[in-house]
Amino acid sequence: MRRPFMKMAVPALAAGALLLAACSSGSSDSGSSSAAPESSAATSAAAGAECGTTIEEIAAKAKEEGKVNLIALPDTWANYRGIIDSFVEKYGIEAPVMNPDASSADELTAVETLRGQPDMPEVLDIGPSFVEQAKAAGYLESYKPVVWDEIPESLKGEDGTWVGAYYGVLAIATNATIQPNVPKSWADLKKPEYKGQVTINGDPREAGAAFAAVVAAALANGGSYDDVMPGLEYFAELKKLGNLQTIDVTEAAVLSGEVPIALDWTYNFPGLRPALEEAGFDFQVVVPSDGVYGGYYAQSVVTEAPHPCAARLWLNHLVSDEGALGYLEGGAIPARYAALLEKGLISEEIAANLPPAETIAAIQFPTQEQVDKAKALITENWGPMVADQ
Amino acid sequence: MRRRFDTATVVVAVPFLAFVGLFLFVPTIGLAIKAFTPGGSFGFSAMQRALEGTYRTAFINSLSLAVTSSLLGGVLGLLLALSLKSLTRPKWLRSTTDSWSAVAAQLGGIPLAFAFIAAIGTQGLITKLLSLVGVDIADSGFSLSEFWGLVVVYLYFQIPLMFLVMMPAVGGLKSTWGEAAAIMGSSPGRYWRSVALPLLVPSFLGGLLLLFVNSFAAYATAYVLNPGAQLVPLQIRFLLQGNVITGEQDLAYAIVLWTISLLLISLLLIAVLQRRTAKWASS
Amino acid sequence: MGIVVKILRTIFLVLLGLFFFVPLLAMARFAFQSVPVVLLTPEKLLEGWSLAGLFEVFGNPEFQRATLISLQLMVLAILITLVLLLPVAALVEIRAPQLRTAMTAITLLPWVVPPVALVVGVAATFRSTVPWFLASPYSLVPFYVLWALPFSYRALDAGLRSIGARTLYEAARVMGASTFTIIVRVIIPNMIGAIIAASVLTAALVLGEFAFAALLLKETLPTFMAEFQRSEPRAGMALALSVMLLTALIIWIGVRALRKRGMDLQAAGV
Repeated sequence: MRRPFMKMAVPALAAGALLLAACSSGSSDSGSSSAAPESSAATSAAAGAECGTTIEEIAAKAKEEGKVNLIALPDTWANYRGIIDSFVEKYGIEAPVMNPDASSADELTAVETLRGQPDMPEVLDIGPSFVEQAKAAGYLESYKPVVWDEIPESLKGEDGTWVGAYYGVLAIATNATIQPNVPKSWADLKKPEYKGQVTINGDPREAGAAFAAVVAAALANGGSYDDVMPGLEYFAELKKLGNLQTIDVTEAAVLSGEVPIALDWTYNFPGLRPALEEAGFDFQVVVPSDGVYGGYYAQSVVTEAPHPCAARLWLNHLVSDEGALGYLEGGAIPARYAALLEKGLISEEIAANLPPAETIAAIQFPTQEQVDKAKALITENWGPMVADQ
Repeated sequence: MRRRFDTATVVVAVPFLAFVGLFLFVPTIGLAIKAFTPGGSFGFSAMQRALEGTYRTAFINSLSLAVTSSLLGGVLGLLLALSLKSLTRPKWLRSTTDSWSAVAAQLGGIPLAFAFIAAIGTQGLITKLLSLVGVDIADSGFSLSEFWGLVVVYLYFQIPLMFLVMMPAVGGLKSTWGEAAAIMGSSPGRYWRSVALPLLVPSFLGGLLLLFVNSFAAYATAYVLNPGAQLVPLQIRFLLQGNVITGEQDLAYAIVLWTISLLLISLLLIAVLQRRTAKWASS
Repeated sequence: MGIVVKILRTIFLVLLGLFFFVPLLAMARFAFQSVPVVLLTPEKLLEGWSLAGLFEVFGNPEFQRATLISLQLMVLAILITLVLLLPVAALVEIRAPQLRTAMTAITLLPWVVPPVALVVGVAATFRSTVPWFLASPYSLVPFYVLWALPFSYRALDAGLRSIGARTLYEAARVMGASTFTIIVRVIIPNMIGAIIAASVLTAALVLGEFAFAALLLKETLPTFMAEFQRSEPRAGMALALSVMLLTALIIWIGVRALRKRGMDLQAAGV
């Protein structure tokens, strides 16, 4: 029995599919919607300018909008739960967080996928590597929050496309109940008693904290932001010694004790502390004495946001005093740390959660070129040097 | 009278083809195009890079993990199906296994990985119990993050999957045939070779393919146990969904394209094997 | 069957049973007892047990919302899978068995293409035509149907083969029935077992699928559980366990009911 229809249908559909795919892949290459990046940014900026210049004006307009779409802000990351709660309470605006575990790439994908829709994420919190990509795609609004001048140069984009509202330092967290001998430096971690216990949060080719660990290790072993090879060699050695454990640092794994020593941002630990203490664990966080790496995340209002004023209000909240105190509670260092210090808003209690003041003062961030170079080196070499061993 | 454009065929085929075309073919062709146009212009650099260095290692690792977990899971799943077929008591065992398999076959990610961590991780319950008796799992070199650890965890969903695949075929093995064969004087081995196996092998091969694809593409579980493992799905994630690497989407799509080729090759292999065994069965 | 084989079979089943049960046990212990393994001593064995975390979650409105959405998506996914796939599977088995390899390839492809590639590709198409589609939570349904294809096609195909659909069809044709009548009144009633199997697998899959929901920023049961496991590891594991067991229980009830009606799932499995 002949099936001429099928014989015709399949090639026809295939041709149609090819045509569709070619058209859509062409238009989605830069990831932006039909308008060119500059013009969409211009129209957005125009819309945004109507939001006002003082917090009160912006808050009023935002209240009318009623909602701001957030993404990639887990509750226990730098106390975002507390910061969001304080925002909702103060301004009466909804702030739902979609996909809290989203990576920076996921955030950009979400903006691309939901462009023009009422659900589109309106404020991004992305790793510094992704700022260029987001800018090129036309996603970043040039909006300078009210306290712009109080934010240090290294934590903002000249053109107002991003601010680094918080940063953290890479620290060594030890479950002192399982491992009473708490390591205090990168050199310490090589000791044989830590066999199978040292864990980094993810893979450096994918996770910001793991990347930071490699760079920090480089700093501690004679390298620099321009040369992170010593960091790779350090971890290769750690793996060879059997000290490096390759399991993922999930909350459950830390809580069960599977991860006795975790290398992660300082602000990732306070959220876990209550559960750990309830379990009876003695949990100690130490900033390694020989290699200090400070890393920030970039926040930015997204162009063509469905709720532009609310989005701007959120950004202002992050860099405001309340936002800063929220970050401090979570163990992160706010961008306006110096300003807050002057105002005397940093109490003893809060300071106890943070690395010592000298360490904070000494933190320097790598430039975009240095990050790119380190990225390339790690991407190429981590596999053969560390993962394959 | 021969109807060339049967209404039924049209009504049936078009929605399915349209659905699959829109949601599967278009994205796949789109990514294939991107894989062959790295950086905007036609070229093979992305396809080539996808087979070199760390990506080649990932392919080999994923392949061995998939083959191992599929073969082991396949055999164990088949044995499970056979065992349960001949068992009539306890009555609840069959339905329990059926229902549990449906759930277990698609388990993965943090719950599955953590269940094993809680059991046989370094701070696992079983690890502790065994250490009280003097057996140290960690010392023997076993680690959930390494190859055999992953295989063990993958088996948790591979075995139920094969069990579900084999049930109809095994169910078709009427127990009376075995008895009849015995009555007529044939040995159990002969029964198996001439009657049972030919019936089971085609489904078994099809099931192996399903398990292979399932395990090759499985990513959530591997990510929790070892985010840095050199495995293809993780590499793709680094490139498409990470926090560090940017601008390497074309490379990722090239890797996907090679994976699709691998799928097609395995499919052809299995199809050939199925045809061979069908011939052998009818001979 | 020899006694040796019977003993081996029992040992095998017991070992396998342990393999599947013990990790769950360990997970449950972690979920419900707040004493970590390293501090566990015979005295502390009965300390720290609590179901409170679990009950708290059940009362969480976000959880209830997410579960409702997941259940709706599940029903829709099952319906669309059956409507789309059943006729095609029947057609391939009856009229075009040579297309079976092609169908296997097509239905295995969804597992090979990473979800993010599918979402980005589909988004590109829809943006120029129906941009609001991806914003709706029901946009997940086609992706779920796609994701379930390897399972569901297999189940339906195996069912068709086991009832000898070809023979049935040809016999009915000889007697003058139209294709449509045959499918609706002959094939489908004989395939209830396979249909149930396909539905059950799709259901289990929808209740566990995370990648697409996360990428499209929807809140489903699995995405809720993933975030919950980060902020409350213990209660999160308890929840995961409960969802697993509840799903299995519901399937179990369904399977038993079928068996009572003589519609053996086994004959039509996957």
